[in-house]
Amino acid sequence: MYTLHMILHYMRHYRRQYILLAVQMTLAFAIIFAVGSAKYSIDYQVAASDLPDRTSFIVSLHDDADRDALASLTADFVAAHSERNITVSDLGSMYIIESEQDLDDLYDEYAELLVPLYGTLTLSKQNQRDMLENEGVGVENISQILEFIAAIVTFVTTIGFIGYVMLFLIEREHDILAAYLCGAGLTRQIISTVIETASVGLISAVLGVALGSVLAPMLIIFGMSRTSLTITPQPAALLGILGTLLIIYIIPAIICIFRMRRFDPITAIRREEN
Amino acid sequence: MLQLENITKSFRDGDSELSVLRGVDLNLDDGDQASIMGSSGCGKSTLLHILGGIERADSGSYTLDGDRLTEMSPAELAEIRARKIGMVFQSFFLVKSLDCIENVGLPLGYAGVATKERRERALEALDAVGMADMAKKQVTKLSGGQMQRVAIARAIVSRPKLLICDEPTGSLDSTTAERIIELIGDLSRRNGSTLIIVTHDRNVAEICERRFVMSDGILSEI
Repeated sequence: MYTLHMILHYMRHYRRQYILLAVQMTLAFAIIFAVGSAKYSIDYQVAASDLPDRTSFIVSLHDDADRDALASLTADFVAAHSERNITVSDLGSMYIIESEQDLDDLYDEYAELLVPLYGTLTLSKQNQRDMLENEGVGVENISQILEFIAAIVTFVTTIGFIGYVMLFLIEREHDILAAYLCGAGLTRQIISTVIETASVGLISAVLGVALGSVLAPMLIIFGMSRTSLTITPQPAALLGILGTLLIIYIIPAIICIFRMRRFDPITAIRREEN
Repeated sequence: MLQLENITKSFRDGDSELSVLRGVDLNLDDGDQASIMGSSGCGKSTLLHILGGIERADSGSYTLDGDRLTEMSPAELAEIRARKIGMVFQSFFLVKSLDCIENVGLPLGYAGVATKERRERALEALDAVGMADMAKKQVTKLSGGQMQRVAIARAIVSRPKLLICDEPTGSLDSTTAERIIELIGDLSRRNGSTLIIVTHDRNVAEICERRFVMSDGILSEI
């Protein structure tokens, strides 16, 4: 209990440094969790997609395209093939004609209809799963960038944390000695130090997951403007958090243990008294 | 109560070995007050560190109140320091981020004493050294004499069997030093602690009934 009392004391005493560290770590964890959620969400949705294959004709419109003429032409085309249950979506810069049925045989007919009106147009054909995967790729590309950022943030935070632990051990040498002279063994102090710093990391991880849960759905805005994919917080992304916690903590914990084991109270006493 | 038998201690100095303690013997009973004098570098502080359980002798035996410290593990020695030994140093060694009462309560905390009892006993000890009204004051705001009083309170709070002082007045002016030495002597008598003071100051040494001199690594009673 007294060890806990002293841990809380030092967390209060060094709160400014700990708050700064916690903010950095929370952001790192938030990015890692959001990116992890994006990856798992997309993978699950694409793999679990039970949507029937849909054939889509995607028309990329030129700036000077006669949209009214295109709409009229397409409406006639749809009416002529009403048994195919074709739906039309106007997305501004794109015009999409879709059906659950195969429209392969109508591709050339529709292309021929459009060519006289618009000169060169781009027509592409995709099935629904392909479209989902492409949308997913769009989001995943951004996720890869964010992963890279998360890796940099983790690296910087780990280096910062190592630096903090080193400074902390130097600054607290006087207190470590005082505690030692009063009956606190070095092992006890090592455990106390590791728990103290680990607590900051755990709090940051919890806050990071909460913040990451809010950020995760927003990642979809980096994907295509039209998508049926959603990004939700994924429990599996917690593995990334755990892995990061280990990386951030193992090196500084080893340094802390190694340095404190080498602590010589006699040298410390002589240094203070000289 | 305290028995040192044939204690030796050497230090490596490059390729050579420097023998600081060459077979030190010391026997003290409960309540004895002893001073150890000697020239600078003669090994007084090394002997004190061994007595305080913070340094190990190379050979010999050290028994304190029935416990053989020379055979103890670091964790066991830590326990002895918390419960049976009080130490006062020239540099005070107070924890700067704690107030007076928390500093005094440190040995009790590490000895597992409950919070309420710890605070009560710490306040008692501060009262004994005339610092009860400064219990909540940060130690960084105290004068040298006040800090040494707090350090003494911390040393006696666990009612130690052995009270060790290493140049306790070294950082103080003469008037304050005199008061501190009287306080140490008085408190150790009241608590029934065995007192050992290491000093180069003859005036300080003279408060103790038993006086020793360290020379060439040997302790002799005068």
